[in-house]
Amino acid sequence: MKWTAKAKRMFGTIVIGACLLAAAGCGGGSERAGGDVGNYPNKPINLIVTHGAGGDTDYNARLLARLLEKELGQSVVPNNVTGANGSIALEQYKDGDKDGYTIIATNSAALIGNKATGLSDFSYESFEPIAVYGKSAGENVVVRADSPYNSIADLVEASKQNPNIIKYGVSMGGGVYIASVIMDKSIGAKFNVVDTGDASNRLTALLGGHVDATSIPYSGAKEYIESGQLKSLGTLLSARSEMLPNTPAVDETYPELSVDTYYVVLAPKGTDPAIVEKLNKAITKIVKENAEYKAEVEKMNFQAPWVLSVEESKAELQKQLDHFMKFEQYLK
Amino acid sequence: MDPSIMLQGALSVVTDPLTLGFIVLGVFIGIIFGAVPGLTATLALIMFLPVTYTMTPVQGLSTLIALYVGGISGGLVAAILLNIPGTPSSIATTFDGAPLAAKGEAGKALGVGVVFSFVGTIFGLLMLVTISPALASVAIQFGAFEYCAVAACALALVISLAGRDLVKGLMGAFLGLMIATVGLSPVDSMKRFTFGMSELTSGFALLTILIGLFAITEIAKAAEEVREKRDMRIETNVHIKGFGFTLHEFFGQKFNALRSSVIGCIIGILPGIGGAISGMLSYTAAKNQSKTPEKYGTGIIDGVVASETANNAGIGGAMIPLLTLGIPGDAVTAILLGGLMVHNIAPGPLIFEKSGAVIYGLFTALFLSAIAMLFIELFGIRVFIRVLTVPKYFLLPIIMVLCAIGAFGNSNRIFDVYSIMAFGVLGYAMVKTHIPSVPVIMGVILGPIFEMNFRRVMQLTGTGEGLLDHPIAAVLTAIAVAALIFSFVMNRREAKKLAAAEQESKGNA
Amino acid sequence: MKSDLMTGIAGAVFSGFYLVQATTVKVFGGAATAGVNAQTVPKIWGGCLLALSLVLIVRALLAMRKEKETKGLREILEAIRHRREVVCTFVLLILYAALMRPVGFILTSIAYILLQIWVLTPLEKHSRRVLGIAAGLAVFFSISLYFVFTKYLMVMLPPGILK
Repeated sequence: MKWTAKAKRMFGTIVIGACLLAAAGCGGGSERAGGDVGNYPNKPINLIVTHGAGGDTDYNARLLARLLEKELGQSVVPNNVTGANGSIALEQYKDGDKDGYTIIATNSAALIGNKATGLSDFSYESFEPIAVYGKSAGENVVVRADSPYNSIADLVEASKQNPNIIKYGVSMGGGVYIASVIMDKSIGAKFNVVDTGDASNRLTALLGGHVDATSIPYSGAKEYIESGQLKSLGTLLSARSEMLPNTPAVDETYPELSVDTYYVVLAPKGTDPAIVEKLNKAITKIVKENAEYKAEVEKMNFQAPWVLSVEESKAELQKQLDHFMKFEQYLK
Repeated sequence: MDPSIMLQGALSVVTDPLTLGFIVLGVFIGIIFGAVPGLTATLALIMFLPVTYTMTPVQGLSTLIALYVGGISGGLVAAILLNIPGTPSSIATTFDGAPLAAKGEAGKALGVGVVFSFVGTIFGLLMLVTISPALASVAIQFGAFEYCAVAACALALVISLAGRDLVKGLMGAFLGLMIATVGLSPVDSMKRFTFGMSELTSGFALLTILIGLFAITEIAKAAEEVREKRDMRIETNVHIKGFGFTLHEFFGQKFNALRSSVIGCIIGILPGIGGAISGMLSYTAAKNQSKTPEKYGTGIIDGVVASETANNAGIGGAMIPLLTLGIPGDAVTAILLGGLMVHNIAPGPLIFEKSGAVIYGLFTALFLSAIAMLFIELFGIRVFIRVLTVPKYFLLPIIMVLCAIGAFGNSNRIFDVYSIMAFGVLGYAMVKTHIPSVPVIMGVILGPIFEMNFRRVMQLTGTGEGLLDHPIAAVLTAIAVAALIFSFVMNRREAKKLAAAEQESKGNA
Repeated sequence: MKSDLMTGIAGAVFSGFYLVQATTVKVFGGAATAGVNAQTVPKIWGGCLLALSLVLIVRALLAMRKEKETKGLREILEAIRHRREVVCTFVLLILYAALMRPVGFILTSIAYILLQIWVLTPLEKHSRRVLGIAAGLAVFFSISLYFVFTKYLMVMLPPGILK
């Protein structure tokens, strides 16, 4: 191709025009509200969700986003960035912009558990926690309705009698996996731990007879427990859930095993504490006072509304970190 | 199933003008997203999901379904007119669709694609409405052993698509398998081949590979032809009568359509495999069962029919595990799952009892979407075909920009834009060295499925389980071995035929 | 078939590199069974590609011995010069991708569309009219696509220096 004189002129005009546009653009742009809390937020907030659409973490995050919009007056846009039990999103966004316009919604199994399993080399202290805003209704240990076990103790005993025969489905590296390792090392359960994927895949594997037991959030298993195809042996919580008073919590038999899963909102490290505080207040208000929120979480996820302040959140996360790190060497 | 509930559900859709409007709009937007390379049905649903939250359940879900239907079928437009698959599901449509367009028969190709997309969708819907619980209970039987065997089967069939040069075809397949290993390993999530780049932790997105290998190579090929005195547009009869093809041709495809629908529906039911594989497998099946396999790839409607019927039948198929088990089969159904849950519809065994009316509304919406798609696209063909009258030198750069947007929009990061350029260079190198790109794509898609299930199989053998404990898997493995031998034989036969034809033309010249 | 030879060598080198990298992948204790771990499958794929590349090399060498035709360096350069639009196209694409974030979507797209159209237009069709249409298309599409995608479809295209 030859550069005709006309072509050169055209190109030159465009370049000059572009520079003028740039100058104009730079002159009158919107200022970044650096530490200006009073003004925050003045543009849409990006909410990165570390798990896939349709799951319980995503559901809680989207519900919160929707209600936060009304509270803050700016749109909160959820964006799923999935992969590797949330570690991909957490790693990508932990050093993000500190202006408070990109926040992360995740769960504690990802945030804390990934450090224990060696998947990530960081944990909650690489972020500014905004709030722990919900406790999951609990992973329920479920088996098929026709199996001979009636409690978690039964299941564990059976595994000790026949080591390595009972197949326990987990998602390698996830909270359920950590629970299975704790079961092995603390209680002596001898399952054949098999990777079976995320909650919905574990559910089908159980129904199809590919595994003998697994643990699933109640919201996923509810339909099958009600229709009589599965039975729940108990939750992995530290106390009986208010919404499921008939299901025993593992804390009653094996306190070491209890794994509470929290839903957490984080900001990149170094974000202005005033912004963090403002967000926490907004979230607290929604969880404690908003009737729609309460109705939704109770109905869909069997959660009772529960939220912590910034300091309380950090303390709770530290507690779980200490608990998991005790088993660190077995998890890798 | 209580007929009054069925009727109630159906009426709630048909009698509400707002819902009908959303369906038509949804299909229309879906087609645009599907047709533009770089934009996909998944992106369309992600963007419109929040909008549906404030609608009633029936309206919201109908819109999402309409977007899905439009998105999957829109892919054929770009596949035929530009030789660039608009969505992964339409990869196989390019095999015969683009040659048809090059021969000046783009109208026929588009017509056939649209009509048989409709046929496929209806078939999938029929399966969904009538026997979904039965099919779902079969789907549950598929565990690690079975999936491993299915992936092995599909990989074996790749060989018959490898083209003349088997060695290069296989090299392409392994290249694809290797590209897929970049990122985190399945099961234990260990970082592989990431070279410290956090962007590579999730590996290369399929979309970026697709755009790079197919779209960028198109513009490179166009750049090659600049110096050749060739008209940059194709002679096409821009005036089309009716559907663009004859009734006789329509009935000639009936076995093809049936077989392709079944394949597409089955692959759709098995979560995690996807429309791209179903299109390619259906194409392979059609080619292998044909009396004239060497014609496939030169531009015959059978190829387009096989691909498009299959990927649309997969829509109904993918909704079966979604509704009856709550398991999304692919990215789009995952978003549909989110949509269902927001409207308090819990998929599972009790879904028909608890939310029967809404579900039947959904089925009606799917049916209406298919009809809307048929009419919009048939009308649209006359418009689409005019795209061919625009010279390539104006059209392709704009398509590239759209591809860049699509790549960027995939995860909102610039790394994906870099990726498409890198794969573009690779794709062009592959064109020049005659390594076919189809085995590469199949390797990229099937690799992770195979590896994950293979690792799980190894874990399960810890309890002493073996292949014989899983009759389905054993049968599939036998089929895989048979397919391997069969593909080998077919490939050699095709190569001989092509070589003989070449000798003849050399002799005559 | 010199090109086949180069392809084979490239394949062999690549698969060799890949195999070496595969051995550095960390092994996760919790999930390794019967020697199968995150390294196993990559090694299988890499090994197969290596084998195939070697087959290709051998085949190319055998074919080269039969035919006396070899492409000299001169002819290869001539072929590239004859197709310099392809090189230009790739240069444009790579620059477009590289500059999109710092300079911004609108500006780079305008420049890209304009220049790419010019490169793809057959020489005899080069004219002021084509240039005008190109500029018009470039500006129109870049700006309208930017606004449609960032305002309505929530795709955060980089604004670059036009912030």
